[in-house]
Amino acid sequence: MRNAAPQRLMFRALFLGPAVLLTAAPLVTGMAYALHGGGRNGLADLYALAALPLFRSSVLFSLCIALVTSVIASLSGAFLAYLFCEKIQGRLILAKVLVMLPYLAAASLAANAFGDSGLAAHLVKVFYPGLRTLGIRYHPLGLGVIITCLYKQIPFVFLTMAVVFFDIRKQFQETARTLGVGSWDMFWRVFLPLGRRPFAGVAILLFQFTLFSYEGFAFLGPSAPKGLGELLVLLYYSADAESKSLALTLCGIEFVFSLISAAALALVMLYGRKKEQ
Amino acid sequence: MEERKNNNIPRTLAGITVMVLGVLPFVSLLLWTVISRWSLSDPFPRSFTLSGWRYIVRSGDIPALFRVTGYAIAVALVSCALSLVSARTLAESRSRIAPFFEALFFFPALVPVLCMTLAVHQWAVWYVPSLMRLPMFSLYLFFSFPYAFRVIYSAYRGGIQASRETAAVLGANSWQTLFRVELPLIAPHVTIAFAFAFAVAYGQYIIEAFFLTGKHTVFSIRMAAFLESSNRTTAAVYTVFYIALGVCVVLLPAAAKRITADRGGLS
Repeated sequence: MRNAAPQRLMFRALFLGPAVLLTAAPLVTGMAYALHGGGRNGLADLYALAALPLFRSSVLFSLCIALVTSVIASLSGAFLAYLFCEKIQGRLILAKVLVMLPYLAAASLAANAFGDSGLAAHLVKVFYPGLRTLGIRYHPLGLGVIITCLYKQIPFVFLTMAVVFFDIRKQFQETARTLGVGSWDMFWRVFLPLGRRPFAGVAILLFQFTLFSYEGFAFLGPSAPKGLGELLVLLYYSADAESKSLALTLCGIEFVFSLISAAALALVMLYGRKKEQ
Repeated sequence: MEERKNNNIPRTLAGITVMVLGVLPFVSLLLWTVISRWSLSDPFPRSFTLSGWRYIVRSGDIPALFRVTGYAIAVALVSCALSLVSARTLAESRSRIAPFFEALFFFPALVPVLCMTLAVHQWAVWYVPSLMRLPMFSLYLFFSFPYAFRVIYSAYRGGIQASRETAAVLGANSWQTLFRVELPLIAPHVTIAFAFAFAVAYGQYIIEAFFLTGKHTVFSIRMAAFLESSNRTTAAVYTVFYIALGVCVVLLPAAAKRITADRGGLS
């Protein structure tokens, strides 16, 4: 009986060990290598990176795209979840497929549908016969990137928030309806405030994903400015050693940024749990 | 009347969003698998072709697609197994450091794939150049595991823990509880976890692009090449194959469950 506690501890360590190894080992290796490689020349590489004209425009461009897509995707995904949360209960498989599909080949689907001769352009031309090009692909404001990101992110928000809203709907919808609250008001004044913590968590995740994503920027983005992920690949695969060093510096910055995002997400989660308790 | 009108506007907007983002890309994709020319000045497609289909059959890329799918299934299965073990252990423990492990297991979902892959690739090139497949597999697991863990852990934190405790009170031993109470209860969550882990592994482009350059050819890299060269018809056919196989795998556990349930019902 006295040996039960250490034995249990040993078993737990044994069972948790592989997962800890799986997550911690690449994380520590990657982070150490990026921060060490990036910081090998002290702050010199950081200054050199900041002096690159392409870097400054890329930071601004990526930040704008990440902000726009995370706001639009979070709000529209949450709104769709509010409208359809009851309908997907019991049809989780269908909902799952809807979420999976865009993940599999988002850039290819978006490029095909919203590219110059895609179906979207032909449909728009029916209403505007003078249209010469839809121009979403390679658009200087990154319209193609935004559409790809939205295409990938809206279903993710939808499925995450649908679960949250289903519980809220059970508790508050009848009360709100008897008070005469309409659909818009119910979403803005009841559902969104009550589900604000998961909503904030999802928005942080989306912002983080978009900021350093690659596919959308590479296949549908303009040639300049570039996305941060695209810039990272460009620097890493350039022939000179200096660019490789700059790539590792950028990689280190991205790691630090993801740590900050993780801290923000953890705070949101912890605050939520404390409130629940 | 006014209220009904107010309720219709959001539903119409939602319907438009679903049509534009959900239906239109797939219709466009399917059309472009057989269209060779449809410029914006033409109201209808000018010519049709089966060259994309012919190309994919002759190119020998279909076995590559099955290889990629098999790899993603393996990653998803390992992720689910690890998630089951770790979620069960964490849910059982009332330790103060449990939230730390929870955060650690979810953290990979927050790390940008690109920067993690680049850093690990750089490390692997220096230290294990002959064993590149090992860091590659661990990277795949690294990114798939958090999604599987999240789903299974939420199931353990919910009703399953209470059922386990009830089974223990009724005298079931640990194995009986696992096989006769937990696994049947957790099966739907495991299928969702599998689907998420599979989709994350299957949709990875970056890891493949970094680790499998040179003598290996991977399906999504071929697909991206057609996309970049604006060979729309072939890119569409590749995408259709890619999505179809992915969807089949995602639906496989649900279909298997339904068949098993039907057989059970008949007997």
